[in-house]
Amino acid sequence: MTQELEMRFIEQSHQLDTSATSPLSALRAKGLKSFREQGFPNSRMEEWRTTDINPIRNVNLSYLHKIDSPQCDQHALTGAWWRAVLKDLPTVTSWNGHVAANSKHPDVPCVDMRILTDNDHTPATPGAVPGRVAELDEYPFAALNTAFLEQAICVTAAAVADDGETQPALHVAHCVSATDGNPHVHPRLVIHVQPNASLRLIESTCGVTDQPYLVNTVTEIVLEEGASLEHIRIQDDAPGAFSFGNIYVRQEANARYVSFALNMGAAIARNEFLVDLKGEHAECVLNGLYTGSRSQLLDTHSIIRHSVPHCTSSELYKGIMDGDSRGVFRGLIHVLPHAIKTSAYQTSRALLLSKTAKVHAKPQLLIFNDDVKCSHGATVGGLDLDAFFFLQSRGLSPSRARGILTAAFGGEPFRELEFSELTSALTDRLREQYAE
Amino acid sequence: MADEPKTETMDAESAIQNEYRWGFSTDIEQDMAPPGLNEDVIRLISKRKNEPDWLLEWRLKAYRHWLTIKEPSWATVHHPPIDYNSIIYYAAPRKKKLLESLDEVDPKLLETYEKLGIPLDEQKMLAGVAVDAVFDSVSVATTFKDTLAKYGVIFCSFSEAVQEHPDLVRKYLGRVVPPTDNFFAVLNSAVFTDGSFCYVPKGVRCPMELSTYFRINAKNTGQFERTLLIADEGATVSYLEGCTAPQRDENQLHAAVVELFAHEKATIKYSTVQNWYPGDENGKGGIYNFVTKRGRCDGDHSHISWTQVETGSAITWKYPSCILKGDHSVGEFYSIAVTNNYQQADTGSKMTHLGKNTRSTIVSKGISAGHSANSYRGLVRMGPACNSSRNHSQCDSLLLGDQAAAHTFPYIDVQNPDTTVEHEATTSKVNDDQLFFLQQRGINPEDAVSMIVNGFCREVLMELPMEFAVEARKLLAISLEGSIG
Repeated sequence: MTQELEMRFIEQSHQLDTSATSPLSALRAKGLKSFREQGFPNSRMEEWRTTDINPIRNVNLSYLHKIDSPQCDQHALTGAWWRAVLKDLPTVTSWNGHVAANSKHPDVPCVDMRILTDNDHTPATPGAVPGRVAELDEYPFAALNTAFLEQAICVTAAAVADDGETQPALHVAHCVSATDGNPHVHPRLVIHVQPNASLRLIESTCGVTDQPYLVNTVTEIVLEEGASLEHIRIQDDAPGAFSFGNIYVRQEANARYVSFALNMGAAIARNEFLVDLKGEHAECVLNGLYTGSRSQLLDTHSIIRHSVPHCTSSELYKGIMDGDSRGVFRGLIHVLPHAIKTSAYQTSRALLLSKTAKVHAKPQLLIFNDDVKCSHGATVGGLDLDAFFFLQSRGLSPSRARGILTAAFGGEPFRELEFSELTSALTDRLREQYAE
Repeated sequence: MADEPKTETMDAESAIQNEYRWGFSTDIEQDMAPPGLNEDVIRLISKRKNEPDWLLEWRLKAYRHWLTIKEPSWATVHHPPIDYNSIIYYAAPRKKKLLESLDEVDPKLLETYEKLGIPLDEQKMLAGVAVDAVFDSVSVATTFKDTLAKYGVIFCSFSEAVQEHPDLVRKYLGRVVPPTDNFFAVLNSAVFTDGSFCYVPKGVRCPMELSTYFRINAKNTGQFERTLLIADEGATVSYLEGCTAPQRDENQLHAAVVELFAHEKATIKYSTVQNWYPGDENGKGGIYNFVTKRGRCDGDHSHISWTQVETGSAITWKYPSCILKGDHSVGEFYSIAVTNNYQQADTGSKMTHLGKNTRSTIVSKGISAGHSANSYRGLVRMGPACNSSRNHSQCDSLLLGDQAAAHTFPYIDVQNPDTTVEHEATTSKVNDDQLFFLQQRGINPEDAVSMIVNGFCREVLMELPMEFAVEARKLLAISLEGSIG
């Protein structure tokens, strides 16, 4: 049984053009080799102990080779609340893992965007190529993504010449549309922020289908000296979807990476972050919110690796779990022997709203030198009944009180984002959703 | 600590500056099984100990299960593979007769205890502590038995209990740690040779602190103690366990099992000071301490409290845990783990909440110095029916020296919204400001660090019974000797 699914994927990847000698084809071979060695993970593996991906085995997933944009219902997309917030942003959309060859690229000042394929492999900068920071060993889904790497969206942000200009922003949407069949798609996004440049990137995944599908993204981010990136990830996949995100970040000296991941859709969703702080005084803020209902499984894994002195990192993840849903948070702060004067903080909090919801948390510290300040905290519990009573005593209905308290709880991870349109829309959304 | 840190530190210095203080071994002829493990060895152990058939079957069942499982590899410890077939699983002192008083004890044994600084007769007079001393695998002396007998408290060696209270042993053995538990517990179930047994009857408050001193003596003899402690309805008992071991070059395996069983409204307090031989400053030798300790709060309002001070062993692998089955039951875990040189410790606690209104507290203080690694690994699980339960965990790590490592791996599994789970952990080095302040007051750096470390551990030291608190503080200073500056 185990072998069967792996073989199906391996066979499908063989159908890709293996005769090409492009860099992408070399990467594909590497990815396939790594996936062949690893296979799909199972719950006997420590990192997958609480994440059972067996439901994927029951779906007959197939790969869509078509690069043309499918005839899909653009209107179906606009329904989501967050789409309204992002509608004015320059957007590039990949359908089923591919950006149509004839699609028009948005014009953003200081940002160069290219689609690399087997036939067209001229990156804007040597840094903006796939495969630079992604690690495949122990990341079977990243290996799988690489095995199907036909196209990579590569974005290079250059420093703004004039201080007066605002921070450039870009929205990359990964959409899945399937009229029949169950596609598996593997979008690849490469972000290269050049020295002292800055960028706001919104990455979203969503589906316009009722069918189960697998979306498996790899995002590679390189921040050069003094660069800064605000990275917002919105996962709003269709209810039956399996959504995996692998995010690799490398930060040089003084680079700043601020991330907020909103995990709300799909049947099984997992984000894996690997942040490598390579230059001194780099700063990383890794925040996120997961809101589960039905029998969803929402999982976040993160590793923040402090390799050099004087770096700071902070991580705050919150979960709101309702229905039969299950939340998983595993974060690791890894401080290597020479990374003195490290400050690292990690907090994971989860709110359980139903009797049958579950949360598994494992915040970890792995510290190999003495000159550090590291701490972590984790809490899991129900709504604060005193606060709930207080709001009702002030005349609020129980449902409104519940909405206000839940929104206040969930609001912390994104409160300090500079993208205020999104933060206020999300707060409103939480307040309404949990007041029902 | 603040009262007289100086004296203790001086003691410490003289004691450990060069050599492991308790490093010596006693020459006593031994009756040994051949090295290796098979069903015959288990039959031999069982026969030598004159055990009933059901116990032999129980051992064999464990052994057969052991053959089917693999040694776990998830702990963050590194050691060469253990050859289970080179271990001698049974060794007993040859002279063996029932003893009434200390006079009848082999003088060589008594000398051993004197060298340890804990002579039995002195203990007997001091503080009303009854001591059941395990010398290698067979208990040879038990004191204060008569006093305890008056209250109906049974406190004896495990093999004695098997002979004299077979029903009790049969009823409780393996109920907390079943013979099919983890790898090392299963091994213990198959080959355990002796240990302590204690039963406190209904409504009895045990009149004195109970204590056992374990000691590995024979070369190449794995120690597989089994301790079983039962507190019946409304009973209260406090048990102290301490260990020291002679210096050895080869690594020795120590895989003990401790089972605590608390009935309704019973209270068990289990304190450990562990000081097995940690190996020399280059990481050579030392004990592998792979212990399974588990308590079951079976009845409502029961209470189990673990306190441990871990300073010894080359490798420690130990997670004293509580199963909180009874409603309103309470589990506690207070721990200090000190590692120096090349020691490795992977320790923590497991709290499994099953009953309603259950509460648990975990306070873990890890101190790592030299090239050592110290990990906290814990699990807090809230079952679906444990309404209104709460847990608070706190794990602090203190690092001394830039080669030391401190890790934290807390697992939190919650299946009930009506519970509160809190976990916090910090890792830092000794505060420079505090160190400067103390030195500026004329205290030398070594004493200053010792004071800060003692302050860091205060919360746990306070939980120890008086007799142990003194020894524990001494051990802390001793263990960190040479790592400061």
